[in-house]
Amino acid sequence: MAEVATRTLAEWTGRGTNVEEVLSRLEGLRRQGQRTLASRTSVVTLVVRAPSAVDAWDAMATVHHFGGRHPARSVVLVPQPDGPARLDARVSLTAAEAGGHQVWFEDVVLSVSGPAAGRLGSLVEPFTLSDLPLAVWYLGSAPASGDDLLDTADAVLVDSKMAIGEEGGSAADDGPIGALPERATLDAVVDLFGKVPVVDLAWIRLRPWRELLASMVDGTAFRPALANLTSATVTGKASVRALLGGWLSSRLRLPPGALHLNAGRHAAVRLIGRIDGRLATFSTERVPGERLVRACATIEGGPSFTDVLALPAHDPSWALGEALSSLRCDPVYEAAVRAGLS
Amino acid sequence: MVYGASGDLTSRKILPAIERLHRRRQLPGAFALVGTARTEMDDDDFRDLCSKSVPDAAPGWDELVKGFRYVAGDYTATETFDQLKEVLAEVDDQRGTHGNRVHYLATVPSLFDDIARALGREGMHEPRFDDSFVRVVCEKPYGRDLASARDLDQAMHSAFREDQVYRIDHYLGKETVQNTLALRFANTFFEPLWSRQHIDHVQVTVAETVGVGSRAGFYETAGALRDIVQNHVLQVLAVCAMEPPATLDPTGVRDEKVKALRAIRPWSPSEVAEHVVRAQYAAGWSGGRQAKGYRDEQGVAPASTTETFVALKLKIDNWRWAGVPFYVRTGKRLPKRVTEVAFTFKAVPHLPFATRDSRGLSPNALVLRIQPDEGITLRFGAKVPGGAFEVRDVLMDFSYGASFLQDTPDAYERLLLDAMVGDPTLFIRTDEVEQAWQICDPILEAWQDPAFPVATYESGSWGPKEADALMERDARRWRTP
Repeated sequence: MAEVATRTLAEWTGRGTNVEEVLSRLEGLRRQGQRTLASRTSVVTLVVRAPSAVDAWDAMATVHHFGGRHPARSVVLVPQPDGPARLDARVSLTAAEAGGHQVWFEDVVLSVSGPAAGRLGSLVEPFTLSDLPLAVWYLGSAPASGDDLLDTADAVLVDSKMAIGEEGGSAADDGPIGALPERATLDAVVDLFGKVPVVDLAWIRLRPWRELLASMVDGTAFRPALANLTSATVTGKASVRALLGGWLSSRLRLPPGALHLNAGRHAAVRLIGRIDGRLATFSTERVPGERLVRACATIEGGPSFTDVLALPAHDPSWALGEALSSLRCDPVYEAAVRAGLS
Repeated sequence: MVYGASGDLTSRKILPAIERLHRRRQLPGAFALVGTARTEMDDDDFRDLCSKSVPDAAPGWDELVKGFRYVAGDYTATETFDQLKEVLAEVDDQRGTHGNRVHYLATVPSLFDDIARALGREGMHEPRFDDSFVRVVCEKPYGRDLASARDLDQAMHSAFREDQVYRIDHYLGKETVQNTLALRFANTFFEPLWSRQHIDHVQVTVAETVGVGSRAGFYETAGALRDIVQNHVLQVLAVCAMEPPATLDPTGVRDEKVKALRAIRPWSPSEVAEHVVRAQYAAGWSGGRQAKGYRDEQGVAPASTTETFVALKLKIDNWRWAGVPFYVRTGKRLPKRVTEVAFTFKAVPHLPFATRDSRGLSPNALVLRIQPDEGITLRFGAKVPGGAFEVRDVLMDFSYGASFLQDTPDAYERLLLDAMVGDPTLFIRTDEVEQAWQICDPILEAWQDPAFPVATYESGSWGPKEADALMERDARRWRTP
């Protein structure tokens, strides 16, 4: 995603404040913005539940990269249940250049300590924008059952690759996800199925892999191999193994014991099957040192091809932007998670 | 003249509105304010109160305030009015106000009757000179049912002609409400859609986040139906539902509004249970704070049945609206402060898209946002960029602040000015008041039955499940504003 120039037009910080004052300041800033800027995007209200103030800043930076596709309003919540009852707030009005025109958006950061940190839903609702979906992004944590934020959410965003307290996800230990930290996120996600759409950023980042794999078997010559797969090997970190492995298990009729999960830094998939007795191999793997994926499809004594796909830039806002574009249930994802955890 | 000059309404609304009118140079040069109330104060104390009520006043406010006067006294005592007459004569001499008077009744409603009769008895209802005027402005609620509203009218009309009485409903002073007239009657493309042919239903929401606070004494005798529905909601609804007036003069608009109110079918007391839900807020969390239940509030009876929430379905029996339900809900301790009217259009007769491609599509809607962020939103479907033919909702947003460079005048500012220049268009006529009570009275009557249920809802939620059921019976649901 191209770098987007943003600038803060006005801001206000309040310590020991309350919701009414924050709303009033926000309204004041908005009026100011309406005087100077032409248009406002209205896409979604994004709520981010961040574990710390540093994470809150990182989340805002990620969100700002949307530029013209930015949500009209972002609300970042930093709960600290153990502290004394207190609300600190920062509201700001930011402008971005997008496609030759200027848009503006509002950011609200609320640091909540004391009992209200356990009732974030009641804090968020006054800040929502009418008629727009409300997406709640659990950054660095899993949605807890009974969290009242879930009652207000039209969609929940998680990143199952980010194990709690372990950036980048677990790489060690071959095999299924077992009791690895990522499991907590995926278990929490399963609890939400059927109640609210869940969008997993890790699943979105795997989309190029999934598309590439699907395109490899998309042809009269290659498709019959899907009915006769003998082995599927997925390499990667725990959540990648769970998601890609679960996806393959749920979409393909793999014979018992055919799925192999190996630990690895980068994702790779290898499928082996037979077409009329001939060996058919499909593989995707990272090109060392490059943000490229090489895919190969080969039928023994028959056709073969190689394809190379450039992965999107390592930019967290890409996955978030894609996630916000499709805030709805994804039955394929749900089946993949269930299979990945089983 | 402001009666109840030491009260909350005067310092929160009336004085700031006068200051803004002064700042905009819309007050006449010959202007003075005389306050009266039972609170013991002298002129200087009152001037001090006026200065403090507008902490961010523009230069010149303190100079204007120097001419303000105050009379302490009882509204039933002749001496109070003798003193007032003396002060007003002095003001006429000193400020050149020439006997022109606007009597603003900002007291508790139970005193309106006494003050109106006293003004008549003391001869203060008549212009002092042939070319001067006397008007009286009344705050809502105007009566607490049809009978008491008629009694109050009798007291008013014992002193004043109807054209001297300005019954205020500050919602009518809001720009978005007035803009509804512009939207409907200054454009060609909305009005043809504004009927049963295209509109499926209408939702009116007046939501407050606050609880009853220190107003429990008043609220226990009022409730949401009297406090909000009888006046604000029905006035807004009348503006939205009325037929096009021939002119925007006071008679033209108010005639059409009263016709619309007459077309609203009053439920019989036996029908109320089916179409009306009343409820009280229970304890919960609101705006990040723990909130107590209504019955636990100070000044509220432990077995109170006063409603802090009402949801009701109304039907308008005329050619334009037959079959289009108007759903109304208003309440305290709801999740956000918002007032809006949402027109939901009928679904298209046939969607030529695959179900999976149109999951993000809702019926078209036109939403009049009355507060906050006054404006209009139009929701319609658009194609999502890409190879598939996915369609989903998008919003087209008109915001007052973004479209006009000048400040939007506050409702009180507008209405005070109208009362001073003698334009009653945005004030409520006596037949409108009566008609609104005709709609509310059977509901109040049904609620007299101790067996009529009072539902509860958690503070910080959008109301009781009974209100959801009211919509679900019609296969509809409340919006989340």
